[in-house]
Amino acid sequence: MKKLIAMLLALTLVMALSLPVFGAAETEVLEFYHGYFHAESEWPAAKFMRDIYDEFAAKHAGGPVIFKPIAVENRVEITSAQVAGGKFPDIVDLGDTIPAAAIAQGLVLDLKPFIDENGLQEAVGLNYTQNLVDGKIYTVHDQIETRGLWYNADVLKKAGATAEDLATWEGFAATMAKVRELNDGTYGYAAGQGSFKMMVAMLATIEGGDAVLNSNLTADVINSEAFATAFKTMASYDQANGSAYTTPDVGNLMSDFNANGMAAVLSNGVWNASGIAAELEPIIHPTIFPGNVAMSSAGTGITIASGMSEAKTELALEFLKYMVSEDVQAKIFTGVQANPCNVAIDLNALADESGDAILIKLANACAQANNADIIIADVQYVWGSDIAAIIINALMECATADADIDARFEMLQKELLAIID
Amino acid sequence: MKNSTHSVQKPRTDWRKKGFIFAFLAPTMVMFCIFYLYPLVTVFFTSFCKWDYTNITRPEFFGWKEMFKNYKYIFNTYPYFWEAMRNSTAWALLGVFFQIPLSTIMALAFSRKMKGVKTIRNIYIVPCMISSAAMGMIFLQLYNPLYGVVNPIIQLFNPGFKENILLLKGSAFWALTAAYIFFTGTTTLMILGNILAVPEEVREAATLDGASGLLQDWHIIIPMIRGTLKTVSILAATSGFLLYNEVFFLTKGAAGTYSVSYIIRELAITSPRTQFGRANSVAFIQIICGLLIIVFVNLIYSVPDWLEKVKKGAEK
Repeated sequence: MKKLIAMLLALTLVMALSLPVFGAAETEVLEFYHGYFHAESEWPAAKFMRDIYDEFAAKHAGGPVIFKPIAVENRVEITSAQVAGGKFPDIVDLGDTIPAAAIAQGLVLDLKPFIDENGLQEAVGLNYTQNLVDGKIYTVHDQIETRGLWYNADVLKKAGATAEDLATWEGFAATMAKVRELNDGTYGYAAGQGSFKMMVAMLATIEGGDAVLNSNLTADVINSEAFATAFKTMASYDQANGSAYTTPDVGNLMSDFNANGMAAVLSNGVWNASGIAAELEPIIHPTIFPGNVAMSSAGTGITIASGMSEAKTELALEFLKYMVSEDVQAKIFTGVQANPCNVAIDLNALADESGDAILIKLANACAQANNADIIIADVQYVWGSDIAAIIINALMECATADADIDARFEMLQKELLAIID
Repeated sequence: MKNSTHSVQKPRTDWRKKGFIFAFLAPTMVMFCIFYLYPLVTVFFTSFCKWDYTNITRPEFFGWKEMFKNYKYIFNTYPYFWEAMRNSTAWALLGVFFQIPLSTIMALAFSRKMKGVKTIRNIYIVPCMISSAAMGMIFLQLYNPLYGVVNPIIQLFNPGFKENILLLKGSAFWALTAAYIFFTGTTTLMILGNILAVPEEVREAATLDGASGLLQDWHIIIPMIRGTLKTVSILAATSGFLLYNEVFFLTKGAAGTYSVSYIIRELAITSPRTQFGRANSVAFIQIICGLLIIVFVNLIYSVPDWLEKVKKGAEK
């Protein structure tokens, strides 16, 4: 009897273990890592994006491949770790530079043939030119990373300044000085990551800065006059602003501007519109960087692994097409409140149609950026996130009152030269 | 006859015994070879190779003349190596000379038979259950110059102070150190376990001899738990040398706070250039330093024996 029970148990165990194996042979799973893990109460846009993904998954539920969106906080780390092991996630909405090793190993699918065959050039918009590397497109970001400034009109007014004062870098510095003079707990801006973006924007207005912005990080760039001027100028602004208001991630101090009205200016993307508290909505407005500069980067988005089965690759490309379709792109604008990549979308019409004040603000921010005299790409995607982190660290250290900016810049040059060696 | 049977059976018994030992050790040895020895050997050999994003699947040996190229880069060019070595060594030393004495004092205090000591002991252990990542976030809030509690305390002595202490060189190092060094619950528990294992008769004998309280702790308890103190010292020193999470969450290396573990990750993972060869050369240096730490701690704990020998020699 005991033997019989033991045999039955063993048989059950073997069958239980075998079932998933047999099941897996019939249906493949296409895993999609994305960064919209936030609770709806924390960031409603995240839930909206998850719904978009789930809708696609539901549409293809009965097919030979199961589409499985996975929300994670560490998609960059997951990707890096997989690349180190010679693999790449099936699909990842990366949001950071594609590891060069992934491209060197041929782990990433070239999307250009698919985009061309399906006439998706307009649908992918800026991705088609900015993400073209050696004739190949490895990534398509469904939202364009458009950056500029946001300002609190009330704080500026109290300080005796206006938005027009932010049209030049000298005006910006003078306005921040006036805000500091208020001495009522309000401060100029969140430095650190924010000032790195401003430094990049400043390069566009400096003689020789154009060459810096359109180049890889080389010794010439590091030793250039334009790079030195932009860094030192921004560092001096940060020092006057104070080290208490620095952060390597602007998200850490965003509520000071969006909810508490404690900061005069915020260097952030157009998506910041969705974070503005209802009571501050009438007084917070978008503008572009001084010198009529906007930053618009396709950046890194949907990136697909090469070498998957035909069925999985087909579904992955179908997903790309779905994400840049007019229907989804309109949802990204109205629901996620981000700048969609599809240039066929009429943002103003959508905003007017909705009548939503935040959407109108977002459309306004996008329009200002799209019509700026100078539109630049974010160098972080060319130079690498490690380089950006080093420059941000240097800027943050300069924000302390006793920091010697010239000496810190010399040190930064040495650090960067060593890193690119 | 009896003898001859015995002489035939003995080798077979030995063989069986050895076979059992081997069979029981084999899984551990196999696992050791797969998960420790093989990566260790890989780290060592690839530290002499060009291995980055350009040849990720095929590390290339630099050649005998150029074999130390990665090490030369790390020692002479890479801007954060010496800073990281200095910091990691300081954290290792603080582990031995600050954390362990603190743990010992706490363990001795907890070993006293007093009312409420168990409750205090449990409270003391609680922070050890919080992950270092969560602890990093907690300290980030404490150090926040806008709403943290540290700046108001500094302002009691320096009213005009408005800086972020995580951005001030020197202060940042100590702020980071304070974020982990006081959480000694695990080591305290290990030491306490050993203190409580000291036979009661020994204490009673010491009491009868007139030694009580601190004298008993110093002359009887501490010498008796020296083996445990050595073990926890090695653990504290190595965990200080390997510090990573606190750097990542609090400073990301700003204001001179890089650690050796942090730069390994910077080189291998964060850098889009994926510099595995260089990262492995730092990793190999880290392994060597780990071994040196063990030697160093052993040397420290052999000092009393050495002094005893010297003393005895002088008496003779």
